Amino acid sequence: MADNGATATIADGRAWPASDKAVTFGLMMPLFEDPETRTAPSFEEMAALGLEARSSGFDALWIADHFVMGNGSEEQPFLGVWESFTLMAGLAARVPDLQIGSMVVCTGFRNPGVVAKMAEMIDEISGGRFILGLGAGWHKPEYDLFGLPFDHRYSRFEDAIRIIHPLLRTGKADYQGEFYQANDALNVPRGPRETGVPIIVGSNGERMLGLIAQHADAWNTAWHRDTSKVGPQLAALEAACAEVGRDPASVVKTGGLYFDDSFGSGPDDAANAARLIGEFRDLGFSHLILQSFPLTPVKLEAFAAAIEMVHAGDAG
Amino acid sequence: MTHETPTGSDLLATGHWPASDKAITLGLMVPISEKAAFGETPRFEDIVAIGLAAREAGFDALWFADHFAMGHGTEDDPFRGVWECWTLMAAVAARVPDLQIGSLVACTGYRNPGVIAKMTEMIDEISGGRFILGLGAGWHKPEYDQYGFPFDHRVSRFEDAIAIIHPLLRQGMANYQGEFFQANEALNVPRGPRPAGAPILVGSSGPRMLDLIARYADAWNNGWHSDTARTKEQLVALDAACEAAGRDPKTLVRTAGANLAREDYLGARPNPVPFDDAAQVALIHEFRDLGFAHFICGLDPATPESVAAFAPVIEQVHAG
Repeated sequence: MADNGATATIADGRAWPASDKAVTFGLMMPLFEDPETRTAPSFEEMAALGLEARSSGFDALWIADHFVMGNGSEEQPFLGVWESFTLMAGLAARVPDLQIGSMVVCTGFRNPGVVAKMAEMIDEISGGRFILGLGAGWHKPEYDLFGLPFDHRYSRFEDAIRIIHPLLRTGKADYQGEFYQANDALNVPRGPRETGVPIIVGSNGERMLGLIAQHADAWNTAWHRDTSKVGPQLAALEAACAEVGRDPASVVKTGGLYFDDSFGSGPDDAANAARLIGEFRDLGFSHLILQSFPLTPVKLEAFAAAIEMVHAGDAG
Repeated sequence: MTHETPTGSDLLATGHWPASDKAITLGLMVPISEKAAFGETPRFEDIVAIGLAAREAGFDALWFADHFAMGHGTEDDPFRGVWECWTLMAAVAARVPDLQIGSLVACTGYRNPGVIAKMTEMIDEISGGRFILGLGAGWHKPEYDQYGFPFDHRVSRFEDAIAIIHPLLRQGMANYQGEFFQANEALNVPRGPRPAGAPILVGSSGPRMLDLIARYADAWNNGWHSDTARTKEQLVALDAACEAAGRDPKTLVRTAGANLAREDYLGARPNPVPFDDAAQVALIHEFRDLGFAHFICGLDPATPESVAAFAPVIEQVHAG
């Protein structure tokens, strides 16, 4: 294939949003039915939470991509989830300033060209604040419900990211995969950023790390309560980068931190969270995604306090 | 959870459609492509401005096409990129109050039907119950080719899709084994603000499509032309399809749409009704008198200014 701009060169992390903070923060948004009440937050509640996150010191809102959680059994009933792309578009239109990202969109649910077109539209809606998180998917019950194939998930992911990456960077793709194809495909009109939205991928599998090294601006590892598992993961990421000749420092490292249900009730919870965040920062992480469900006002206050402590410490 | 798929007359659509005290309501086809009736490529904020101008001018609905690129990639007919329909509709729903927001029409060949139902429910929630799901089988082969979508069996794929989408919207569940699409005790939860979901509109007059319209669609669109003689023939076939399916034809909401030339016509929308307010009002009245409840205006140009300048036409439509 001739170089007609329809292939993207190796990612270099430059698409990631710049910040003068040592570490920035994302909030994992609740968008599914509560197992107790079986109700989901309304759009207006999610938009209000987004605005509250903005005033609590968060830099980004993260949206999962699922049709249902659970497996339909008595112990784990299906819990409905709002559709991610239309929700992200709605939030981008209503919540200013914050980055809006998918954590992560499943490449098994939609054609990669459609994923790129939707990413470009949300980047336009948000004025250049969208981050496209991609993953291969894992939750078999949702594939089964809607008749989507669950086999060859990594090969499908590879086809998808090899199409999506150039569509975002150059507005073109030409690729013949076994599962997805692009034939001189176009992604126009372009949004506000000449080289499109950043791509983040969350995985530690060997094949996935190889694709991350080539195509992802940022890498995510989740969900952690401490740093015990992170060292070997970083080493594997660096090895994958070395394999394709990419400077591992150009991969933006992001981590998902999980806080259990009692978080916020203890007097030292915010300080402990700030200390844990500091440990991740010292390992080279520049963005941390905080998650705790159900997300109560007490937890949000504790997150805000932890964020303030981390920034104060960095400033000092 | 088990779920029996309803059969026979239980399945028939009922003409679920936004209530209005107007004899005919008006929609605006929003320009969303490069070299569109907007002139240059409309940016998102331009599209919001057009939507707010439409609300001010007295329109009742905003309509969005579902395409990736128009044109054929030739010198005479180059590709013109189109903004993605669903994410755009979601954001417009979040920014423009009161108006209905609809797809005209979403192509069932581009997305899994379960995903379409989930997106529909989310936009209905974002808009507070103002979404209308327009569906079609697609027709523009170059777009299928670019992204590697199969172009064969379009009506069969459409049939599978609407047989899954309809119960997902009405009951939040579907169970259906089609050749091209399947739903296995599938769920559409959480639900938006309307217990029976968003209305479904289909625009087609092919014999197989008419049968599917009679069974599943709340509303029908005449397929974008201003020819009332041809429309009368379409209505005969539509009524016959309803009767064959055992549905009262009066429960199928009739909608039409056509291009209307306005001052400084750009030529972006072909074969328009000439720029003459009285003639355009008369045409809309003709459709109203044929039993049409909604008329979609393809204004050319379509800018906040041209939309505002259409207000007197809307006033005359409702005065007459």
